[in-house]
Amino acid sequence: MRIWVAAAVLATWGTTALGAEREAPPYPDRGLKDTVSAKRLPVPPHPVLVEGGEIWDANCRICHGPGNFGAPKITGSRFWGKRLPKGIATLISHAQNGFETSLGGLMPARGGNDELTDDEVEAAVRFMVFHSGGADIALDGLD
Amino acid sequence: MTVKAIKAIVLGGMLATAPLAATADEGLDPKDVADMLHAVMDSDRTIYTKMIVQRLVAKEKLIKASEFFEDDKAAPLPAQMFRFGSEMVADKTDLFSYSLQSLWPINKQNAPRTDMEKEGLQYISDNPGENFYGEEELGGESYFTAVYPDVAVAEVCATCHNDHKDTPRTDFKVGDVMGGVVIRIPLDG
Repeated sequence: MRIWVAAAVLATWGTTALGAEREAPPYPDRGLKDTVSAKRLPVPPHPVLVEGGEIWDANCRICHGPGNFGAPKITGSRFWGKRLPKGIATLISHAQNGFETSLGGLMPARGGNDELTDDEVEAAVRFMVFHSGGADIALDGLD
Repeated sequence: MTVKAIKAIVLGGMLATAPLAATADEGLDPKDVADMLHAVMDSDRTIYTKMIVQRLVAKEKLIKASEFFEDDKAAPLPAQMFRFGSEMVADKTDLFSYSLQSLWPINKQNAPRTDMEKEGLQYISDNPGENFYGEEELGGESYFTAVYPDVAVAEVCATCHNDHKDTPRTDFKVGDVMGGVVIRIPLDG
């Protein structure tokens, strides 16, 4: 039984990888329980986002995985509700350049890793947005 | 990693896929209790760091934050605020305790003391973003011990630690695990 379930999941996300399915699965609005790593999430439908998952895991997960230190948790759409309407370009810019709110909110530029390129940061942001209720804008501008 | 620690982590993973396993008879699972306590601590600590230190100290420059806050007429550092809270809780209850510890402590009293604390701090350092859960026996009593990563979320966190005269490590950067919050809950009684 488990084998069939696993096969069905793989088949579903196999078609996703080919572009037939462009939505992330529904997550609880506070996000998956416990710390979320990229390997707990389905493979996204675009190679940029696939690469972004690896970059996100190595650089962003420490805060956005558990949702600690005020960072919006990946998969927690309620935390992204006010952020997603800003658009993918703004979210990418905030991650590349850092972002502070008037109340002291802080997102360090490139998550503190100066060696990340703009493209790598963009891929990681797109991956996180895809799995946080913003599947549509995560794919904006991608071929 | 000890067998008990592995079991706790596996148990935590199993619980993650099940509804909250709590009934009036069984009580809350200690992992859930520790996670709830940490959610409060993390939120309070983050708010203090952002709205006092980052905003009033770094951005508006209205006040200073200093390790010697009394002499300097300044605000306590985030780590000091956290420790003061843990000391007050320790006076109020023995149902749980918590502390901020590090493998590279500026204040030597914040170094790990038990084998599980050392194991937990090493685990969260080696596995960024992951928590550590285990059980340990101290003085004939069993405890559930959880360790949560404490991360340099701003440049000031890293530079303050790197530049301190008593620091054993000088290469922290933003995003690094600098230590961990240790929450301990007695399992007997």
